[in-house]
Amino acid sequence: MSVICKATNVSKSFRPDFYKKPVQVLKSVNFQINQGRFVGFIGPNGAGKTTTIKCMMQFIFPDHGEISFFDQTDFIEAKRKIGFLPERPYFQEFLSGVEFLKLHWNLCGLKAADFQNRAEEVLEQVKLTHAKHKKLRDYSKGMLQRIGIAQALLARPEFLILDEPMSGLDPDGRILIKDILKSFKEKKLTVLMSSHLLEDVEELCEDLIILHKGETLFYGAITEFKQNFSSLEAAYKAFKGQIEEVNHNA
Amino acid sequence: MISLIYINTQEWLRLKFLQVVFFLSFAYVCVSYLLGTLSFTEQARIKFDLGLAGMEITTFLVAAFISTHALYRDIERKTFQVILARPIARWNLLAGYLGSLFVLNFILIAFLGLTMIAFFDFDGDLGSSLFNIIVIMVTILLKSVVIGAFGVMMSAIARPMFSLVFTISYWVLAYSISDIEYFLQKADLSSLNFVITGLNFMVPQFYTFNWKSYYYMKNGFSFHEIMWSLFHCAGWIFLLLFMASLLIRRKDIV
Repeated sequence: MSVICKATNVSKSFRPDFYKKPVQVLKSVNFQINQGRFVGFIGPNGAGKTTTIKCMMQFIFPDHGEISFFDQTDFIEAKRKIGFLPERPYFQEFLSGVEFLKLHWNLCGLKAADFQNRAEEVLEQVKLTHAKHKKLRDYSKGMLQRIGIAQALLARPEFLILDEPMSGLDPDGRILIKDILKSFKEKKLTVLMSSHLLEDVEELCEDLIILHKGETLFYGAITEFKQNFSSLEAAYKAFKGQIEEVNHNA
Repeated sequence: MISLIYINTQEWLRLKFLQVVFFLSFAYVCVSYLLGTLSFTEQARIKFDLGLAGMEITTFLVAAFISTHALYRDIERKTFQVILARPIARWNLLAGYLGSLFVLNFILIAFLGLTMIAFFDFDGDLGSSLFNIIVIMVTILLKSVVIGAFGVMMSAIARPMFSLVFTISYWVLAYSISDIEYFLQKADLSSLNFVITGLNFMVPQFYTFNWKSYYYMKNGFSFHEIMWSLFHCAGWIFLLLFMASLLIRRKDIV
């Protein structure tokens, strides 16, 4: 199984203001994502999940350590194989669904002749064919999230990074997105999904990365993490209890 | 790149601020026409001097506001992240801003220029006056893009309001180097001449082709002067864009 993404000893600190002390957000993040795996990325608020994703996408740069994709050194080339959806992004609301996808198709530098077929495919996949000519301003939150997933899928990525894809959605929206994500799992697409919702992670993911105060506490198969527990939630609670005990004793 | 220019232009044209500026600039050209008609002897001079000055101020305002706020706005809304996830380099986004600014100010100048050409009287040789006014409009457009490039560069390192203040100061300096030099001479402070030398390296010399007046529209400029203004502006645009791309290359987009 080939390695899609590998993070080694990644650390990052931010200075809130030039006269203030830097705050260490990531201390030591280590993980490896293998091809064809659906990976859940969990941790409490402020654990550093989004910061790690930003480091992966090179929106910010780690102080130490490194993140590599497909064993490639040229990140712009690697980006051709990555689809990304940030948490609650803004999309140009004056564009229609198809125009929005066309913009991203052009940004990828792909052949204009192939666009129509591919756009139909991804719109079908995210169940938005009926709304393809609607302006994005008329889309519901769930529809916006789905068109976001469509743009991430557009260039046939080998690796999909989704930051909280189900946050802020109503139950119907969540069910729809979950169905889409399940289809990725069936197709053996490599996905990294950050989430707060343990039941979703348990249902969708095969592997797990747990981040706590900027450190990776666990990465591996969910079955390995759960072992003697009935659910991911129960295992996570017990795991957190152990961590807090260790911290307390230290 | 063309996609970025297209999408930014579409987005900016929808800004209320820009629509107000478009309207005010049109109103300004109309007022300059009205003011001109109040004079018996200097009608054309008043109309063109005021009209061209209005054109430059408007394009400068558009360039300064948009260039200093575009990057910040895209980072805030995470549009920057979605676009940067595509296989493009960061400097492409900055070049996209400048391209959009060029298109936007081109539309604005064309609109105001056509208004002036339609309503103002060109006494004398119409052909050469038209050629001269087109050259003036091109230099106004290029100057606005230079200011835009500076604004984009500043926005890569400072917050929008700071960038805006610096950009306005830069524009004022670009016109004032000769005045500063004059004052230094008159105040007998020639020991401070190195300031002028330094400024000439750091700031474009807009004062050398400040042609937005009736005089230049009538008398024109030499071929050498036109080439100097074009290459001077193009050089500064590329230099500032290069510096902006260096500054943003490793900037954390939080």
